[in-house]
Amino acid sequence: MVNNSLRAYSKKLPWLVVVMVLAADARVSRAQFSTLARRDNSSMMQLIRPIAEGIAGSVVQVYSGDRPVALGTVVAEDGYILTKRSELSGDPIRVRLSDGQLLPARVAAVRRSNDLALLRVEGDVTLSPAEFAGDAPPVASFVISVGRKTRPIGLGVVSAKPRRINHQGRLGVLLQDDRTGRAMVRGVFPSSGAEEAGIKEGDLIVAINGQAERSRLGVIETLRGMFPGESVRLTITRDNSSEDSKTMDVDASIRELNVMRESESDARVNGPRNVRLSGFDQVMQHDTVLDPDECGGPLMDTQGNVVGINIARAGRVVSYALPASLILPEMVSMLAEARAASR
Amino acid sequence: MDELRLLEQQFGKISAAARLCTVSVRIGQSQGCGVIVDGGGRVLTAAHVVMRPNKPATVILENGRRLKATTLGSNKNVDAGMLQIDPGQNEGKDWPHATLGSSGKLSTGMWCVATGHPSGFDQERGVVTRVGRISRVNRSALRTDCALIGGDSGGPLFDLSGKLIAIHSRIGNDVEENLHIPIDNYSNSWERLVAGDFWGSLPGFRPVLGVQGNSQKDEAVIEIVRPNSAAMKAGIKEGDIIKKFGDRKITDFQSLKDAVGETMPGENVRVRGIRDGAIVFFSVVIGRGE
Repeated sequence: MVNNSLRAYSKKLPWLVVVMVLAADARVSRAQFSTLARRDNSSMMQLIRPIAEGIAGSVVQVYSGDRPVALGTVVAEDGYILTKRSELSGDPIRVRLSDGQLLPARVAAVRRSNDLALLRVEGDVTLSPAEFAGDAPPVASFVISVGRKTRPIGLGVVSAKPRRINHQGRLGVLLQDDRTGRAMVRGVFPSSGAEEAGIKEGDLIVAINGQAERSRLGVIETLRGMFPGESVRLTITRDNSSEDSKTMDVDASIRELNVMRESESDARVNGPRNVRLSGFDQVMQHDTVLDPDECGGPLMDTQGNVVGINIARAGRVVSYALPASLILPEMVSMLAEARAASR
Repeated sequence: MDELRLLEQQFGKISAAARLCTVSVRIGQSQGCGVIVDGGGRVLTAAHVVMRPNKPATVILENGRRLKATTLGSNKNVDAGMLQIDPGQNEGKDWPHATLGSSGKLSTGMWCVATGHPSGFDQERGVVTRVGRISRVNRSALRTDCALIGGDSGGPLFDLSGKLIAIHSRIGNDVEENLHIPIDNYSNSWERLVAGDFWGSLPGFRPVLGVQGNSQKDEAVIEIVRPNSAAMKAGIKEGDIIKKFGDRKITDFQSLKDAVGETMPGENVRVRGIRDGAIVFFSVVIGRGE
C-alpha cells in the first residue's frame, strides 16, 4: 500500500533530480586540527566584543514550554521583544533578560509572512531597545550575531544580495479529483507531515481547520497559504465508498519540501536547522554558523549598526537574517497593533 | 577594529571580481562549479565534476548566460579537473578570469574567500561568498572553515590578494571540515590536463559496481550481485550478461572492471545487458568504496 502510493507520487511529480557533486569524506571528520586557525577564534571574538556591547541589554533568551528555543531582540522600552514565531510551539513562554531575570511573556502580535512574533514581557520592567539602522551591508562584509549576555555568538560574512525566499511548505500529499471533484489522496510523501499524521491513499480531505473544502483546487489553494512549521487540522473521510466509511480529524504539520527530499548524507552535513527555513519577503544570507535556537537575536555590522534579526539556520552554508528595512515597518505595525489591543 | 574594516573591504573586492569568473558547470545530471582562469576560457574544476575527458558540458555565468564547453583532463589522485569553454562564444573578447596564485607558501591561519553555487545554480541568488581561514595545509589538500556543500565542487578559493589558491573538493560532517585542491596541483600537470589525460584515483572514492564474475569466460556474466550495491539498486541480477557500459563495449568481465574503474562514484551510467536472451537496460549510480 505504502509502496504503491510512493510509486504514484514519484511518477506524478517528476522533480528534477540533480546530483549535487561534492562528496562527504568521513575520514576528514576524524582528523584533529588547531582551533586557532578559524575565523571565529577567541582573539577575533575578543576584537568584535565591543561591537556587541554597543547593544547591551537588548538581547533576551526566549523559552517555550521550559525549553530555550530562540533569542529575542528588545524593540521597545516598555517590554516588547521580537523573536522567531515558529519556534514558539509550547506554553509557557518566558524570557530571560541579560541581567538573568526570568519573566513570563505573551505573544502580542504575529506576522506569519515573515515568521515574526512580538512578545510582551509581563511585569513592570524597563528594557533597552536595539536601534535598527541602515542598509544591508554589501556582500562579504562581516556580520556579528549577538547573544543574551551581550557577547558575540557568531561571526560570518554576508554571502549574497538581499532577496525574497518563497515558502516551500508542503503537507506531502499528491491529490486527484474523486468522482465528484473532491480532493482524494493519491500518494503520501515519505518523511512528510501527512505521513506522520497517518494519512492514507484514498482518503478524502473534506475540511481544513474546520473550513469545508469541496474541491481539489480549493484544498491546494488553502494548503498553499500554510507556512512550514505550522500545523493544520484536516478532516478526512476514509473508505468513502464502503460500508464502514468514517470521518475523522487529524493534525498534520507543514514541512519544508527541500528537507523532506534530501538524502541522509545531506541531512548530516547540513546539521541541525529550524523547522521554518523559507517564506520571507527579504533576507540577507550570511555564512555564520548558528544553532537553530540562536535565531531571533540581532545581527550587527562592524560599524555597530543593528542591520537585522537572524530568522533561520537554513543549512550548512546558509543563515538568514531579516534586514532592518523589513523589520522596521513590521515592528511599527506590530507595536501599534499590540498597544491598541492592550489599551 | 580598523583592521577588521580593511579586511572586509578587501573581501568585498575579491568577492566582486570572483563573481564574474565563478561558473556553474553541468555535465549530464551533475551540477558543480568551476573558475575561468584565462581569457580563452580555460576552466579549472574538480575531477569528480569533469568525470571524463572530451565530453560536452554546460558552463553558466552568474548572469545566467549558458555556454557550451568540453571537458579536458583530470588528476583523480588529488581531484583536479579542467574544461574548456568552446571557442567563438564571446565575440572575440577575453573572458573575465581569475589570476593564478601559488599554493606553495600557504600557511595555517591565512584568510581566504570561497565562492560557488552551493546546492546548485540559483539565478535570483547568484554566486555565494564565504570567508574563512586555512586550518591545515598539505600538498594534496587544504582545509578551511569556508563552509561548502553539494554543488560547490570545483569552485574557487582565493587568498587575501585575490589570487586563486585552490579549488573546492569535498567536505566532512563538521562545518569546519572543508577540503580544497591546492592550485599547484594544476600548475604542475597543466600540459597533461590540457591534453585530456585522466589518471589516478582518489583514496576513499573508488568507484564500485558491486558485482563479481569470472574473468576467464568470454562474456561478462554477472555471478554475484552484492546486497545494497549500486548494481542491485539498478536491478542487475545474477546471470545477466553485460554488453555495454556507458560508451564502452563490454567483451568480458575484465573489460567491465576496467570500464567501472574509469567512472566516478555518484556518476550515472547507462548499461545494456542480456537476460534470458532479451536486451535489458539499467541506469546505474556508481557506488563508492574505500
